[in-house]
Amino acid sequence: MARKDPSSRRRGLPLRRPRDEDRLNALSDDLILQILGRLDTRSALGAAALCRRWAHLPRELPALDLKVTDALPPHYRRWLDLLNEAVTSDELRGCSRRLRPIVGRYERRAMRAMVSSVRSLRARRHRRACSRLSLEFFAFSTSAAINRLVVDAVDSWGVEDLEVVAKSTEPITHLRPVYTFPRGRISRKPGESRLRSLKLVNCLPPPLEGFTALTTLLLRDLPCSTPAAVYEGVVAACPQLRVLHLVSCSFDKDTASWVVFDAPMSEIRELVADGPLMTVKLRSLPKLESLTAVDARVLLCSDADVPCLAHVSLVFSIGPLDNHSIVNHLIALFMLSLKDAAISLRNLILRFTGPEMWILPNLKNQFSLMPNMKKLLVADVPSSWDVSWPRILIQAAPLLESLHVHVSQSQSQSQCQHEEEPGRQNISSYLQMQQPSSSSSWQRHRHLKELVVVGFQNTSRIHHQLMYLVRFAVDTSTALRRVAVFKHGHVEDKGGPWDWEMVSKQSTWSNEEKLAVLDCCSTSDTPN
Amino acid sequence: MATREAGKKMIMLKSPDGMEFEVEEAVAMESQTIRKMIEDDCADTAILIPNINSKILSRVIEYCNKHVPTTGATGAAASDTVAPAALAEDLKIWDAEFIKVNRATRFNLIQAASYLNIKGLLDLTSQTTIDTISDNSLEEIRSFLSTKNDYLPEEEQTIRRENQWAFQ
Repeated sequence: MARKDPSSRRRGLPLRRPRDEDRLNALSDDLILQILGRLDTRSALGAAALCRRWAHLPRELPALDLKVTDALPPHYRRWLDLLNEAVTSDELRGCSRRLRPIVGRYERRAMRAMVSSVRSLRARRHRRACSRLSLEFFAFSTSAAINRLVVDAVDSWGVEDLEVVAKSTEPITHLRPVYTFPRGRISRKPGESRLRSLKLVNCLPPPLEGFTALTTLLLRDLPCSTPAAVYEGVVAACPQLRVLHLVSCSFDKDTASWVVFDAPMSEIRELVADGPLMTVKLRSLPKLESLTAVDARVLLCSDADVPCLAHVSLVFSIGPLDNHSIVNHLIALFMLSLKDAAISLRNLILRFTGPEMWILPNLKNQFSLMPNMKKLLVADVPSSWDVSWPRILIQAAPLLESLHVHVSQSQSQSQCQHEEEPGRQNISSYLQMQQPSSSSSWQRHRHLKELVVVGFQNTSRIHHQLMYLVRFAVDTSTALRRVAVFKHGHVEDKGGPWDWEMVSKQSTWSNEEKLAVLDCCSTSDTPN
Repeated sequence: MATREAGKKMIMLKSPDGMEFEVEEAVAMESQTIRKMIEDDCADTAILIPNINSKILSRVIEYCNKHVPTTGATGAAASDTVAPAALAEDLKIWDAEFIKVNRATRFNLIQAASYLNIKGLLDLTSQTTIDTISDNSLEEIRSFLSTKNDYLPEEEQTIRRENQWAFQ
């Protein structure tokens, strides 16, 4: 196929009129809109000035993304970094008094430009059709124009997805004021709105009664002055809500120590509590299917009504200075509180993102309650642990079909070597003690079909412990069809909390290593 | 005509200028439009693809041929442990080479991808267009699109005021 360089071709064309097929203009409005949709909002709006043919197109853009940061010059960032540095360092603290007005001037100027643009966007007599509006402004704004834009978007543009980000102007160390909508509402006729998904960042939720189409709510960065009733209130106000995410949110701990969700009419299917400052107790969420806690404390009340809860994901990130026993305590408490609800639990993910963690032996007992679990991922297990412990989970879940174990490789080399010596001494006694000769006393597992282990490393302790885990699975499981062991790999999130994929890397195995693995499980596995 | 060849079901695609292309059903079904025709049983004779000339249609088929096996494999479950990263990288290089065409061909490919509903091809062609025009001045874009500023001065001012966010 002959390909010509476009520029050389231009020269060859007659100047009077380009051939029709050579014009983007020949495409239909829908197609041009699809292409414009790939541009950032500012460029897409600017395209209206190209020619008459394009004038109306930006009014039909399906998504508008208005960010005050787009109107800030590049050196604003530099001043802001300086300010943040000044407020965090003792020597520079004096400078912050002089830096703040400079930063403030840039912010106010950008905000003025935005308010005036927002006015002109609204002022036109032309009707806009837009299904997604994302708005970012500085939290100090008291402009009614911003609020009217939101009301317009919800009431007359037919926006389905709305995101409002109130950017804090305070330096990172300071308390950040939360934004409230000036009139406290985002719609005159909530019942007629098509609003499906609402995302509010550093912004108190407006009254949500009557938004019958609203099914997804995300609250983010709400400060510790927020009453717990705000969170409980949105669940009560929107019984049709299906998805609720609370990210980096806090609440007033003086008046309540837990946010309690007690909503027998609620349709919530998915609840995510993300952030160490959130503490949630579930009493009644009858439709709840999936629960994710990232560093947050989530408990079920003793009389909890969560009959549909089938997927639980507990993620903990633990730094070297954190108290491990607290995390152990959290897991143990959660498992205990799960005791009555566990009947429906099918899918459990335990994920540890910090380098320092240990599950106490006494936790074993609490894992003995997962009769319906079919799929289990244990990811980012710190390599300093006894990495064979997931075997406890095999025993605890008699219907388990698929077990994926991933051992973290992030630990520093020096730490690995450091522990190598005492580790080696322990291994021989450890293996002797736990030789499969005692397998007769192990319960047979009839459902485990798949075992994937990632993280076979060079340190012999981990190697032995993982080998032990594989051998345990092979020896006890009668239905095991696939065993895969990898040296390197990681768990990749694929969007939602339940979409993940184990990604492995090809690596070389020496013959000796292969033999060792094959010897340990004489059946179907091949090292990759 | 749906025929069998080496165990694979074949589909006949016809361009309006009379050319006929015999392709595997799986390849043709990269196009959601054709997939729907096949599933609705409207495809027992040759499928006429209106508005797409044989030159463009052959390029579209070339694209589908290249992309058919990977789309089949991405539907794998979470337990699929081998990531086809290298394969994806290959495809990217191939795509970049494939889209080195003149503007006329590219706009025709956009139209074809839209009509035949081939998401990957539509993404590729429109993204390439965006990449060429973004970061250019209005005048440069006008020249690239071979279009003229036909606004009266006051009209242009009004439209600029309406969309002033673009010019802040």
